[in-house]
Amino acid sequence: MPKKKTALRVNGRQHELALDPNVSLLQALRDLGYTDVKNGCEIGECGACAVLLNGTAVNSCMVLAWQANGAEIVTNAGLGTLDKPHPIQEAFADVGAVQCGYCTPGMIISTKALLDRNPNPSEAEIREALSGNLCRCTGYGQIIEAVQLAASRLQAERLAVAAMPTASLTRECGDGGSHSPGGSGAVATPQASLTGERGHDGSRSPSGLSTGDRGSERGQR
Amino acid sequence: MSLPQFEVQQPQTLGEALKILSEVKGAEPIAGGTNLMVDMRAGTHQPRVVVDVAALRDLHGIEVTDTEVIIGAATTIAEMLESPILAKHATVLVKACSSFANALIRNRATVGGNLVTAAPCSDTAPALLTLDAEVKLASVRGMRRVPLEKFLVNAFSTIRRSDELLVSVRFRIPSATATGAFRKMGLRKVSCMAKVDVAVLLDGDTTGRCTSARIALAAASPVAVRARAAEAALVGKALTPEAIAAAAALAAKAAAPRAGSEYKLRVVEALVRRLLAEAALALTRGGSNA
Amino acid sequence: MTERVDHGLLGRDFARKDGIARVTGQERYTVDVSLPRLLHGRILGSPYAHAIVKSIDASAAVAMGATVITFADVPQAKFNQRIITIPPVLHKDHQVLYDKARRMGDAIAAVAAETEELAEAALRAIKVEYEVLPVVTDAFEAMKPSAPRIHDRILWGEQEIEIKNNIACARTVDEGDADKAFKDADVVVRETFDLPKVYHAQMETKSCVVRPEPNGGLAVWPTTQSIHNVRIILGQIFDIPLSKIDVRRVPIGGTFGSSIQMNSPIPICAALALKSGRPVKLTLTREEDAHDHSRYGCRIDLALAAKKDGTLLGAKMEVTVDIGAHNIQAYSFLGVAVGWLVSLYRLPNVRYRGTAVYTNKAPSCAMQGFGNPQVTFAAEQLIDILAEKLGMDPIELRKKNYVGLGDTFWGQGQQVKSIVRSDGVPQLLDEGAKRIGWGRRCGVAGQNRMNGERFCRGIGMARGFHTSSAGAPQPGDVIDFSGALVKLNVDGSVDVVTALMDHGGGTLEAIAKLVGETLCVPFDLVNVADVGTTTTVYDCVTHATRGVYAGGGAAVKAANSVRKDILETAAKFLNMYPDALDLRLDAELGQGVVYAPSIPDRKISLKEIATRCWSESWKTIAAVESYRPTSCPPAYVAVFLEVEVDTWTGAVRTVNAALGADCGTVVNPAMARGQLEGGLSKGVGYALIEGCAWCDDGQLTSRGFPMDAKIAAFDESPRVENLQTYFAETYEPTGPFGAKGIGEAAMNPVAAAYGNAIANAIGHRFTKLPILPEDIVAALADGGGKR
Ligand SMILES: Cc1cc2nc3c(=O)[nH]c(=O)nc-3n(C[C@H](O)[C@H](O)[C@H](O)COP(=O)(O)OP(=O)(O)OC[C@H]3O[C@@H](n4cnc5c(N)ncnc54)[C@H](O)[C@@H]3O)c2cc1C
Ligand code: FES
Ligand code: FES
Repeated sequence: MPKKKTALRVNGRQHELALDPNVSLLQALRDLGYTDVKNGCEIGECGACAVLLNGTAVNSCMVLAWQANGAEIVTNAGLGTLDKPHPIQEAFADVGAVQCGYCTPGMIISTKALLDRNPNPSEAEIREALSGNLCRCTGYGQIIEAVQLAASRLQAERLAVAAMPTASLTRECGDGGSHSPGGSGAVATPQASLTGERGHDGSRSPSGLSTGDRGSERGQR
Repeated sequence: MSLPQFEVQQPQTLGEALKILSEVKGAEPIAGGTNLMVDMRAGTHQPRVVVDVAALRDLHGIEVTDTEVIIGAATTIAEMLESPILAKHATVLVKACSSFANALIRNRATVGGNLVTAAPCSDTAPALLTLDAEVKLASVRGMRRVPLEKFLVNAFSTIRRSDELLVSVRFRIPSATATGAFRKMGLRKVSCMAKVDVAVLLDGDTTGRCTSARIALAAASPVAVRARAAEAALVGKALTPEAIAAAAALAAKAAAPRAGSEYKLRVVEALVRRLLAEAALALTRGGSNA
Repeated sequence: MTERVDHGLLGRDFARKDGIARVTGQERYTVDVSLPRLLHGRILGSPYAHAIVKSIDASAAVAMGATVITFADVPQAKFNQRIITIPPVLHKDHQVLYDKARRMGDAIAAVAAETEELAEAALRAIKVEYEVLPVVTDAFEAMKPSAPRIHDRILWGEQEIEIKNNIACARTVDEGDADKAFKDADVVVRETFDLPKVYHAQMETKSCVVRPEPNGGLAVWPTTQSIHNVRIILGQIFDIPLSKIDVRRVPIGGTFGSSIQMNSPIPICAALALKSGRPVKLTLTREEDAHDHSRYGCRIDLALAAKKDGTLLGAKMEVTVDIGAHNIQAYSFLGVAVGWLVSLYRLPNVRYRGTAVYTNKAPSCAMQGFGNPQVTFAAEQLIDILAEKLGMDPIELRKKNYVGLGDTFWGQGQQVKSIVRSDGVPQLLDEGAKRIGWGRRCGVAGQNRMNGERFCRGIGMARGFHTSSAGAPQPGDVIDFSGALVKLNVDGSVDVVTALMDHGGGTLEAIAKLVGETLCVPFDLVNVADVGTTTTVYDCVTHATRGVYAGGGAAVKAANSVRKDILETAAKFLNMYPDALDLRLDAELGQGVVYAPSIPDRKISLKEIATRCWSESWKTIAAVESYRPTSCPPAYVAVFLEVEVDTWTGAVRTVNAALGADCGTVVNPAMARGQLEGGLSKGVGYALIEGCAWCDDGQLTSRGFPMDAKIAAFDESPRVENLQTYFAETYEPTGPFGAKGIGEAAMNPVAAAYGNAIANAIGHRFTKLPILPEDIVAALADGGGKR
């Protein structure tokens, strides 16, 4: 079984790998130490393994690692750190949307994908966007509230940033983590400009496609 | 749990892909992987070579011509949900996509993978059946177009030959007044397989007479089917509650659930009645589009 | 025990200590533990639900470089995975590996190898010859003389006993004269209820990492609710002194009762580590996990006798329990089942027969409520039936008969009795009725349906409770005590060392608050230490809604000893009598301060005290205490629901819900709310969608796929603004700062409330769970006669 060369950019760090073709993205990420990506079922049903793949939330257990070759991957740990959690992460902690915490990284990834495209979602939109994530502990109510709180905090942050001189924009509207690509108002990082699919406003084309080169194809459609 | 071992081919063009499928024994396409990954883990599919078709340009995009809408087989359900073309010409399909699985799966799952899998509970199949869709299959031997209704043979079985790729699905643009409706009944409210799917597409004139009716069911029989007798009973008739009820009763006869699922017959009848009534009402208001 | 003082920590929400770690993905669960030279383990589970292993040939697997263990390589003594019941009445039928499979997936062999893939390849290379036996999946079939025998002989304590007719054990209780009560009654109601086995579907599957230590001992990172019990059982099985086994507390991705017992991969992982001499990680796949444990399935035949005025006279209950392939705690289950009934309502005359039966299915174990949701489903529906028969309001009937203030209450079975000393039931019922709009409830069940409407709404309620711990004034069959160590550091901060587990409900958080409150130390200066069994004193297990009540009790007891020591030490430093001193939180210093109320300005901070003790080479102020709760107060709950039934499709939607709890002092409001909402979610799953089904050959029809096992997703919960939670204002005199438990109570009455609300909506009562759309449509088609 010849190995597949696979380049993954995860939370801003580049990994050049030679993997067996049957390694899932979930397994590859966990083996690299991104253990915040959780395995809850390996059959696409729980969402604990969700990551952003070129900005789109997908179940990493449903993706073969080589299918993500060249892609930009963001896991929950890439959004914020212990010292500087992302506002979404903070909102989950503040509202009590976390019990055992096993579903939480996936929930936050789906939330990030939602708020990137829809900064002010309704409850129905939140339920829809998080519909692929199961939680056995909380009963979901506090998760919905956490998303709402995160949305309003991010809105407030954006307003504050808008009122600031542009010079500070780069620093202030980053996504929390020091190496956090993507996200609302993300400044064009080198890799973002390479694939050319993410504008200054953070808008991106809706897509389930997985690699950077496919991204450019999408642009032509 | 690890997946069984296999090799990978990543063809760059449709031609290359077809050549691999015709020459390499045990080759199987992968698009979104949402069926194949599960089947491989369960050991029910053991391809020797996995052929990545998700990147093939010819399998992408949603296009509209003067008469037709064409959807590339590797188009994801999420892309269909957000397509302005489908929103304009095929709301019945968009509604089906919106009840499909969940947000995460929709970002990977493709319409081609859904049709080729031919699961009894496929959500896109009934909607596409009401649109009289046709699928385009390609192999090194050439192309062929087949009505979706013929393509789907039985549960998990289609007329596709193992060296063929599904390239696209197409359907004629429905009349501007045609009105579509779709309903999925599952155990959970989101993220579930259908217990019953019903899709309808109705057209009528200003007098309230039905000029065209298409009704399709999924999960109520081994594979998605049209309820032809129910359709015939409506065409040319006024869309009265009585006519609708009679058609709904006929639609239930088209269903053939497994023994012990008589419940599905009742639900088919109830949902068809409901959806026809909704569509009829919309028609009297000038209709929307499919 | 403690007078009511308030330094502002209790009843307020603080950012959770472990919260940021969890939301940023830094928390390390067992599956995330990684050690140098770690091997990957896998289990060869039986592909048959009932089979004898004729032979095993593992040579090919060994040739691949894998470490292999089979029945012959491991200790064969029988044990019970759960040791909360005292040894003489413990049934033991578990083994590390089996030479006879009694359920699909029973472990026949196991391997460890450099990679997971190699381990799996090695598994496939093991050749096993089975003699396949007939399978029995139904408890009533299993009791027939012709049924296949699942176990021949097991241990009961140290004594070998024979299992006849697959009956694992039985219990009877007779109190008063039930026959006479039923003869004297004006009204008798009776119904049979069927409750399925349900999969816990905790998000993290069972997992374990074991490292063999140079001294012959083991370091263990398991999924567990009791690190000490895991240690004791491992010590017994492998004959290793407990001082050489350190079981670490690891955060757990949900358990809901399924890790009260030592999970089956744990001893297998230990055996692999011992044989290979290397650390091994063993994690169950989702499918393996689904075959490993489930909620007890049972049939409950319940009858109630009452006077015309609604006074209950007595009950007769027969419970037949499907315990699956192994006996984890059937004996206690049978005991508590009747306890739940007689603690719901005052029933002076009771006849109870409980029978636990083996089948070739997933072993049953506790799942949130340990039999309480099952019994409450029966009792609370039967109370509604009785109310209807008597023409009484269901809430009034409940108020008249419930076990409340001053009544005797059976915490967990006949031996765990205590007196109720705090009772928020009237508040819960009145407030819930107000919030749901009980006045809108249609007195005639199914009125809307009779009017021919498609969507029928109905309002229903049920009440319930759970014990806080299994404490009692005297020893019984149940082991229940806690321990904690509290110490004051030189800078005035505090370490709390406890073996309690946090399931995510905030137990450790609550412990930190209780200790902070006792010692007047700010919340962020209280550290709940990372621990293992070598550094903690015994704590039985975090179950039975006992974490805050009993574990908190131990921590508060230790904190009070520390407090006493602080005051005595300060008295020396200040040249005063200890009794003349007190403690308060000094906002300016951000510290606890010992002061003399009678002499202004005479004060010393905790930091100064601790620093002097240190610099004068004197002592650490610390205390370790064990605590046995002598009471097990009921945490009461009430669930009010408004549902809408689509009579065409049978779909049920939760329109409104009001969930009330009486947990004494509310220590963590947001987390208490989370427990209630989580209880509703698991309860709606139990009521409407879940339930494991087995094929005749003993395979799960779901094969462990959560979607088919159908746990509730986002949209099973009502809209956020339609979901209300509320708390009774009570103070539990025996609890730490007036607190009781809440965890398990939250779910207990939910399914019953659905049963009652659906009956109100459509005029048909369901006595079997789950209530599926097809059942509703079928019932309506039949005219929906059953009331
Ligand atoms: C959690 C979960 C929920 C789901 N919910 C739903 C649901 O609600 N409704 C529903 O209908 N389905 C559902 N599915 C099933 C699945 O997502 C769909 O069938 C999906 O559309 C499959 O597409 P795919 O691209 O992922 O297929 P893949 O897994 O990539 O392929 C499926 C099969 O089709 C073949 N194939 C794919 N593309 C082509 C092509 N262009 N030409 C020839 N052969 C091809 C593959 O060889 C394979 O045999 C669910 C699956 C999961 C895991
Ligand atoms: S682990 Fe990927 S969806 Fe569950
Ligand atoms: S918090 Fe435990 S599964 Fe969501």
